[in-house]
Amino acid sequence: MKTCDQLGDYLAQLLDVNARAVVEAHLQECSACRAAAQQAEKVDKSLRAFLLQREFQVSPLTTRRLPDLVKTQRREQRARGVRTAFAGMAAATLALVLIVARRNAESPLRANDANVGAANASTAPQVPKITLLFEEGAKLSDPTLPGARHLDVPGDGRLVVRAGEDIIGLGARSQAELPEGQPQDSVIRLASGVVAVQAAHRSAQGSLSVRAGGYTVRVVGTRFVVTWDGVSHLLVGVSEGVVRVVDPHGGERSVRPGQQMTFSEQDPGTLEALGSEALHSMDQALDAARQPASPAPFRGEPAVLRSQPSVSAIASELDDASIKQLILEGAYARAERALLARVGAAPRDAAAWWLLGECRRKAGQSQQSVSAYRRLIEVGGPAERNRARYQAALILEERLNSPAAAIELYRAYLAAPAGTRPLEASAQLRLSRLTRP
Amino acid sequence: MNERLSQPSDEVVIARLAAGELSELGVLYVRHGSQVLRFLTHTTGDPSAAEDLCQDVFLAVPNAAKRYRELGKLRPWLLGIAARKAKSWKRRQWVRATLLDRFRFWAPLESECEPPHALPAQQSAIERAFVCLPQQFREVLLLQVAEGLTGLEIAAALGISPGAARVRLHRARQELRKLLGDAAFDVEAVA
Repeated sequence: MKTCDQLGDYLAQLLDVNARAVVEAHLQECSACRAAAQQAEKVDKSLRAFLLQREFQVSPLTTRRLPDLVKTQRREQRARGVRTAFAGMAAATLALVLIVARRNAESPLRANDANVGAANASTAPQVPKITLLFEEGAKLSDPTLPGARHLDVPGDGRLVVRAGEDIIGLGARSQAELPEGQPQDSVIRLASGVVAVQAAHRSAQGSLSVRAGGYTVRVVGTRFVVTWDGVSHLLVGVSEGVVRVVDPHGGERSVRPGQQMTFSEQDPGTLEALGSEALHSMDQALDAARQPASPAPFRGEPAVLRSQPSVSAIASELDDASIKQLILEGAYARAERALLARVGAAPRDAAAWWLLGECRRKAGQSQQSVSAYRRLIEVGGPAERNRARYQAALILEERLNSPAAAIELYRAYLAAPAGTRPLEASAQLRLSRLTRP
Repeated sequence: MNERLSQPSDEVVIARLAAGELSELGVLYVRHGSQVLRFLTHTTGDPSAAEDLCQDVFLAVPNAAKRYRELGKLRPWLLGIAARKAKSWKRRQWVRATLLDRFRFWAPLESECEPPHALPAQQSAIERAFVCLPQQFREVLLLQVAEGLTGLEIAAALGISPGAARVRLHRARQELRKLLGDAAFDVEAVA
C-alpha cells in the first residue's frame, strides 16, 4: 500500500506507532499529503477550542442519589413485568368468556330468551349492552351486568366497560351514568371525575355526548378524555377525530387531535397541545385519571393551592432531588403540586420555577411550562433567566406554533451577557430560520 | 501514599458494580459524568435532555457492567452507551413530531441548514458549522477531537468497523470545511 493511502488511517488515529512514524516521515516529502494533514489539523484545533470552551459540571446531588435511582428503576421494571403478565392473563380470560358467551347465545336453549328480548325491544327504547371489561376498586350499582347504568369509582380504582361498540373508562373518584337512548345517539352524564372514551364511528346523524355540568362534549367516532371537577372546571383532550364542546351559554369550540382545552366560567377555553402520553392509548389516559384528584393538571395558580394545608406539608417533605426523582418517574401531578406549594410560599424560588417548567414540559403541558419559565425570567439570576428564555422559546417555536414570541425570546437570549449563552449557535440558527423571509 | 493510587481503577469499580455494589456508581459518575454530559449536550443540542440522558447512561451501567469486557479505557464504552441513548432520544422526538404533525424535528435537518456565512456574524463560524453537521458526523468529531479517542475506540464505542470510523471522520471534516468555506482552511493560510 502506498504511504499516501494511509493518510486517512493516520488522521483517524488507526495506526500503530511504527506505521505512524512512516507516515510522518512521508509528510516531510509529500506536499499534497502535508497540506491535507495541515487542513485537518486546523479544523480540529478550531473545533477543539469551541468544544472545550465550556466546563460541564455534574450535580453532586445526583452522585449521591444514583444507587437509589437504580434500585427504584429495578423495582419498576419488576412491577411492569408483573403488570404485563396480569394484563395478558386478563385478556386471555376475557377472550375465553366472550367465546363461551357467544356459544351460549347461539344455543337453541336460549331461543326463548332471545324472543323475550325481541319483544322488549319493540316496546322499550333500545339501549346498548354493557359489558364489564376491567374493574379495580369500583362500585357498581348493579353488579349483575348488563344493566348497571350508574357507575361509581370512589377511591383510586378504575373501571372500563364496553357499551355497545363504545369503550368507556372511568377514572379515580368519578361518577357517571352510562349511555342511555339509542346507540346511535348516546349520552354519558359525568357527575365528577374523569371519563375516557373510545367512541365507535357513527352515521352523520348519530353522536355520542358527554354531559358535565352545563357543558356538552359531542363527538362522531373519536377518542378523547373529559375531566370535570364537579363544580366549575372542565378539561377536554382529544387524540383522534374532532369534538365540539358546547358551553352552558350555547357557545361552541372545537378540540382537534393532539389538543386539549380547559373551560370554566372565567376562561372560555384555552387550547394547548395534548400530553403526548395521552395520545397513544386510552389506557394511558386512564392512568392519568388515577392521579389523586387535584386541580393541578390544568389549572392551579399558586394562590389556589396555598389554601390547601396538605400541599405545604408535601412541599416541606420534598427537596429538589426528590422532586426531580418524581419527574423522572413520571409522577408529574405530585411533583407539580409540591412545586406550586414551594413557589406559593417563596415566589422568588428560581430553582422551583425551573423545575416547574421542566415538569410541565415533560407532562406535555406546554402553555403552563412557558408560564413557569416566564416567571423564572422575572425572578432568576442572569444564567437562569437565559436558560429559561431558551427553553420557553423552544416550546413556543416547536409546540405552540408562536414564532413571534419565540423570536423575541431568542433575541433576548442572544443579547444576554457573554457566559450565559451556552447554546448561542443553536439560538442563532433557530432565529435565522424563523426570521427568514 | 499517592492519592491516585489509593483510588480503585475504573476496571475495579466496574467489577464491583457487576457484583452488585451500587455505591460505586457515584465514583464513575464523578470521574466521567462531565465528559458524558458534554458529549450529550453537543449531540442533542438540548441541555435539559442531555442532563436526563446523562443520568440514564449511568443508571444503565450496573446492568451493562456484567457484559463489560476490558478493551482499554472505560470512557469509550460509556460514550458508546451515551451515543445509543442520544440516538434513541432523537427517534422518540421524531415519533412525537410525526404523530402530532405540528412539532418540528429538534435538530436542524441537513436540507434546512443554512451555510454559516448566511447566519448572523456574531457567532464563531466553527460553532455555527458544527451545529449544522448531521448527528453521526458530530458524534465522531466529538469523540476524537474533544474526548481524544482513537479510531479503534470510536469504532468500538459506536459499534462500527474501524474503516467506517475512518470514512465518517474524513467526511465529517470534509463537510465541516465545506460549511466553513474552503478559504478559511486554505493550505497557504496554514503554512
